[in-house]
Amino acid sequence: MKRIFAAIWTIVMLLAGTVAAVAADYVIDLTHSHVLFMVDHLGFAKMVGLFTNFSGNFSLNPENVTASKLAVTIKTDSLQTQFAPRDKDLKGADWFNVTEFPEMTFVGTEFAKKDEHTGTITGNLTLHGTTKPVTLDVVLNKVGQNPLDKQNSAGLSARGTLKRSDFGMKAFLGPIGDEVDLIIEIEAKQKS
Amino acid sequence: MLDNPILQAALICFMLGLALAGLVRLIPAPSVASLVPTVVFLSSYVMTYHQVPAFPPVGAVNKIFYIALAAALVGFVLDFLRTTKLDRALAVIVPGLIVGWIGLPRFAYGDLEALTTASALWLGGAVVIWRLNVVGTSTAERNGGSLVGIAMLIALMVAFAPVALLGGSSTSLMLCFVAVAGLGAVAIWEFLIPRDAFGATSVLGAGSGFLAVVSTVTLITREIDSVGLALLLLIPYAGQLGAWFLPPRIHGRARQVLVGLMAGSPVLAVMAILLLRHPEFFASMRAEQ
Repeated sequence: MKRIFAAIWTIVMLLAGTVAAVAADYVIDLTHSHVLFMVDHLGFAKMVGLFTNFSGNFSLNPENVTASKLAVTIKTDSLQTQFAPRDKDLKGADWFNVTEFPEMTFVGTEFAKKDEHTGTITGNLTLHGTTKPVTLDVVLNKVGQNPLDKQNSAGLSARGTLKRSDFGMKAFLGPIGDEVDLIIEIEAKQKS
Repeated sequence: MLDNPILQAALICFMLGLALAGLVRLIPAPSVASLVPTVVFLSSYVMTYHQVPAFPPVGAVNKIFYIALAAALVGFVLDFLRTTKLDRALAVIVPGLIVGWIGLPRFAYGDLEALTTASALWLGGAVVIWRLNVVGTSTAERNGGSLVGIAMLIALMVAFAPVALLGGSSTSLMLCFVAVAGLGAVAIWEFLIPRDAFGATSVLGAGSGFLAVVSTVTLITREIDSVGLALLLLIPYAGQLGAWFLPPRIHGRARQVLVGLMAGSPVLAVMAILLLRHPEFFASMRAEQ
C-alpha cells in the first residue's frame, strides 16, 4: 500500500513540475487585483490613489523568465483618491488629462530573475503622452490551482517608483512630491 | 505665509513685473513695452508648471505656452509695423484657432457637445480679445488706455480663478493668481508713469494665453460651471457701462482707475454666484485645508 501511495505521490509531483515548467498565458482578474500609487503631500504624509479599471495579460514561464511577456492597460478615468474634488483635479488637463490620454500602458520589455520567487520587470510606461522605462521589483507569490474555482492562477506583487516630472506632470512640484511609489497586486487566471 | 508655493510664485512674478515694466520705461519703443504683459503671463506659466514645454507640445496644458508665445509674436510684428488693419480679423481668427487646437482631440471623435461648447468659447473669446484691443489701445477720455486694459486682464483672471478651481484645475487657479500679481505690478507702473503701450502684443499674447487656459479647463478638464464662465463676459463691458455715470470732469488717470475698478466689479458677481451654486464644494475645500 505504501508503495502505491509513493508511486501516486511521485506522479503528482512530476505532473505539478511539468505544469510549472510550461509557459502559460494569464489574464488579470480585476476583482482581485489592485494598482495603487502614493505621493508625498507637503512632507506630512503620502496621499494614496488607485485605479479601479485596468486590464492586461502576461505570459509566464518559470523555467525561462526572460521569455515572459506582460502588457497592462489602465483606464485613467478610473482614478480615485477618496476625495472627489481632488479626483476631479487629478483627472483634469494639468495631471492625468483623462480626456486626451484616457489610457496608460505598461509593456514589459525585460524580465530578470533574482531567485525562485523574486525578480524585476522593466517595461515601457506610457503616461500623459510620454513613454519612459520603469522597473518594478516583483515577487511571484504563487502559481497553482485556485481552490475555489479550480482555475490555474498566478499571483504577484510589484513595487516601484517613478518620477512624475519625467512624464510631464510638473504641477506643484515641491509641495507635492516628484517621486511616486507604485504598489501593484495582481491575481490572474490562466487562459483556457 | 511665505512658505506657501502660490504666494512665493506670485511674489516672484510681482517683482518681475515691477522690474520689467520699470525697465521698458527707459526704452522709447512702444512695441517692446507692449511685450511686458505677455512676458508676465509666460513667466507665470513657467512658475506654475515648472517647465518650458517641449515643442511640439503634447497635451492642452503644454499648448498654452506656445499659443501665448505665437500670438504675442504676431502682435509684436503688428505693433512694430504700427498697423491696426488686422485687429478685427485677428479678434475673430485667433480665438477660433486657440479653441480649435485645444479642443482638437475631442472634435476628432465627432463630439457634438464639444463642438457646441467650442463655438460658444470662440464667440466669447472673440469678444474678450476684441474688447481688450478696443479698450487697451484707447485713451482715458474714451474710458480706455493701458491701465484699463491691464485692469480688465486682471479682472478676467481673478474671476476665472474660482471657476477653474471648481472646474478641477487648481493649477489654473495658481497660474491666474501668479499672473495677476505680475500684472498688478505692471498696473502700478502704468498708474505712476503712464506709457499707453497696451498694443497688439499685450492683447494677443496675454489675452490669448488666458483664453487658452479657459479653453483647456472647459474643453479638456470638462468640469466647468458654464454660468460662472458666461458671467466673465460682463468684464469687457462693465468698465464702459460704468463710465456712463462718470462726470466728464473726472479725467486722465483718475478716470482710468475708476473705469478699471468698474471693469473688475463683475468679479464679485462671479464669486457670489459660484458660492451660491456650489456651497458644498467650497465647504469641502475649506475642510481639506
